[in-house]
Amino acid sequence: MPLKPPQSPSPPPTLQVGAEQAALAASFVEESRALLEEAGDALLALERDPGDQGAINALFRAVHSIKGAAGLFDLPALVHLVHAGEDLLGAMREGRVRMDGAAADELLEGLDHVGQWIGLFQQGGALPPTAMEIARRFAGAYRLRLEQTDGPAQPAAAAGGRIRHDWAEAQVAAIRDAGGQDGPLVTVEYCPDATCFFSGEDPLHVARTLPGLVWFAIAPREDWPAAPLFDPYVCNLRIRLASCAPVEAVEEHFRYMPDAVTIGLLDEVAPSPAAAGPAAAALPPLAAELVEAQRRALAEPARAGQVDDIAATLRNLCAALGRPVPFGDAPDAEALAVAVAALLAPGPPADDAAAVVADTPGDAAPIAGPSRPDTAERTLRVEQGRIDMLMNLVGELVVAKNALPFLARDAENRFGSRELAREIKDKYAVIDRITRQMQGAVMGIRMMPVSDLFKRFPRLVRDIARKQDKRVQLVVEGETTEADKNVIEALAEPLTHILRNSLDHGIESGAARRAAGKPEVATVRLVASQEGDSVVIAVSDDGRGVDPSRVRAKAIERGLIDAERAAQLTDEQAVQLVFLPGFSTAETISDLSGRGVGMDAVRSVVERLGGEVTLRSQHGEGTTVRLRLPLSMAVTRVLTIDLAGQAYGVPMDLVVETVRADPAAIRRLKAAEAIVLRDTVIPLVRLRAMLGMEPHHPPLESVLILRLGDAMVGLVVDDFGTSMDIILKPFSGILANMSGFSGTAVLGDGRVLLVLNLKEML
Amino acid sequence: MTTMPQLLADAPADAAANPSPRRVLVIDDSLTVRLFCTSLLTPAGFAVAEAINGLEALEQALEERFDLFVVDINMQKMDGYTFLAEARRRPELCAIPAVMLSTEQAGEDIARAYRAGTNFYLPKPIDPDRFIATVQLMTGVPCR
Repeated sequence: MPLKPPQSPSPPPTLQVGAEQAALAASFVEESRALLEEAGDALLALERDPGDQGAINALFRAVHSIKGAAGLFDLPALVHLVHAGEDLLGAMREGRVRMDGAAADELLEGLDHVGQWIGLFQQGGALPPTAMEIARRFAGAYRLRLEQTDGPAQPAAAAGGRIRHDWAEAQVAAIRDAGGQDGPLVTVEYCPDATCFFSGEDPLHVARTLPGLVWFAIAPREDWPAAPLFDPYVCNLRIRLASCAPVEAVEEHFRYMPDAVTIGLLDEVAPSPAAAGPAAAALPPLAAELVEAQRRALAEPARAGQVDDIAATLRNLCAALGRPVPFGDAPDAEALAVAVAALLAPGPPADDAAAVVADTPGDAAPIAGPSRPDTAERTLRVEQGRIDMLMNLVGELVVAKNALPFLARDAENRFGSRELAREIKDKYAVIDRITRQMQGAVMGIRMMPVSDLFKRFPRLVRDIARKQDKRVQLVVEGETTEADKNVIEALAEPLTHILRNSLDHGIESGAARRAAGKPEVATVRLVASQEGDSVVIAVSDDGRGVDPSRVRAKAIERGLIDAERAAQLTDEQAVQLVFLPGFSTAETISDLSGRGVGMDAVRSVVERLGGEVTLRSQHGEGTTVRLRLPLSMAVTRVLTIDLAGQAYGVPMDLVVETVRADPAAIRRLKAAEAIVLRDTVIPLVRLRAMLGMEPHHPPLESVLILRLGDAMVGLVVDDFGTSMDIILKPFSGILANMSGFSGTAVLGDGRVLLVLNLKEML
Repeated sequence: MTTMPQLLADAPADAAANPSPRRVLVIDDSLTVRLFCTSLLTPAGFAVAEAINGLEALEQALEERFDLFVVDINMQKMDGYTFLAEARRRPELCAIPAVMLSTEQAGEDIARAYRAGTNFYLPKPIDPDRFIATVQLMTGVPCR
């Protein structure tokens, strides 16, 4: 049967088709992200304990897997960088290169680039034109570390001290033909530095003038970039040479560019089947490779006695090619060797290096160290959009359900059917219960452990500490505490800021700490816990704390407070001044935390989430910033209030109590008003006045007592409504920046409720 | 797209006599690679099963019959070398051909793969045409 090579016109296995390619890319992005994270963790673990074999294995495996998957896409820069990283890690795994802080820096930075590129790739964008340059820079840095091995051998060096170039053995026929030589040949792989054209290096000249040159081939090192990206000043050549000159002469020739070349020897190459010369019924190249691979497998002493798989492979191969099987039912190794020789005899050599590389002596490194415990949970990955949609639907159900009490009231008042009203109320109770359970279940899906948020901080703390030359250990506790995804995500920025503040301003230099009798390694604690319906995150450090007198002075200097009032503040109150907009105690705004955003930014984010932030500091001993946030932001319980016929909502968690007060009981202190409630003087604020409405003086004032932080405020409104659960929709579009309101909600009877942001208003 | 019936129509008698699709077990810890292999092999008429490490693969292979193992090297719990060594030690699995996929290019890795019991070695990134042709050759599916 006539045979064609396997590069057949049959199933075109293209992956450039839409959906499949997209799914593959999505999987790659997701997987690589997870791997990068794993790699980052492992790297940090490794930095703490360079001997952590588990961490180095995990790191190597992660980087290796990224490389493997990235190769499926057109990401040459990414692969280049990851490949170099993998080489370095491989050397570290074998103990040839030591891990230290600087190496970790370089590796982390490289991984950061990879992460960025993957982000760009995800958005469908190409890598930036500088990507390859960046990749080369890192690859260069990694290679430099590889060369500073303190181990016995260079990575590529075999036991004999000379490496063997795979390609040389694959090309041996061509080389021998060209050289007409039988003696030993020196092979050289010469990859000129990318910037060599600027240093006066002429790669072609160097190649041509190699003593004893018998053969050379030039190829691009990376695929040539698209024309617009092509940089003619960057050398992307890989030159392979063979010389019959003594190795010393070749080394001498390349003495100025030792980094760019590897020199090998081609002396005892096993005679290749190439020698047999061309013949008629050639095997297709891939089939020939496969047969050659079986020859190689047969040659493995380790496999003597068990050759069934080799027999099966050859049998299948013959079946696929429509050739008779040249051995019997249960062949032994010898019979198979004869068969292999027979199959290969008339064929040309395999021209691909992969399958014909000669065995290199020396034991390979152990791959799998003690495997890390499998922490994977059984999970279902769901796109966030779907959960959000479910949440929205539940929200609408909550609102729709709220219409039933109105309906029941109508049934009784307008249609006079008390019985129907009761029926409706009964059904309402059932629907209400189910809705609540549903809400709980959906919110449960949205809950994430804070560990997802916290895991980025060890790296942050490490980087800042290194930059500032401080020694800091970050203690993280309560990572399993859960909160709504939105809460978690929104907290990333404020927490980052607090930590930066802490490291920047709180933690003293090593010398200062020694002088103060503190341990030189500072401790920053990041602790999460659940308290009732709130999640509390505390960041504390054992640094110098906030100096109340300095805070006072700064606040006065910035015109945030007058000297007289500042003097009246207790120390504890004074430190709270850091939350005022425009406050910064740092003498110089550092590149880490300054830039005009301070604790006021933290406060505004936390309050927008419906939480609160407090700061406690003991001068000289440390600072604790506590964030208290609602576990979930999805459903808000509000008290409705009435103001000039319009319904407003006040978050229920602020409401302490509702009071009907005789206007006579309201004390006037100049322009301000106050009410005395159980021996406490509570300042009053009239909502109508705040919203610029006409004053209103009913016989009894409706006063809402609110707790704002530590202070109590009485809010005077027209009337109180009921409390209800609402789905708060933040303003969007041009209303997004409207202050004083946190959003809207639709009521069961169709009215729109404006929810007041009292923390901002008062 | 060539379908299995088409392939069989042109196949020699012994292959046509066995109409059940060739079964390939893809063993790789990377979902992307598994997806890639499956998306190549399924349209070519192969039945593909997946395993995420050598241990799982061993379990599956002892339960079901396979015609070929496609094995990654670096995996958690049980790597490709160990898997192959284990498979070659067992009478049920010792005759099933295996092809290793790896990004490792060093001669010693390849040597180790052959020592462990592979029958072929394909470097990653996987070239789709080469991969399919290899699987076809190694499972006795005629390639046109």
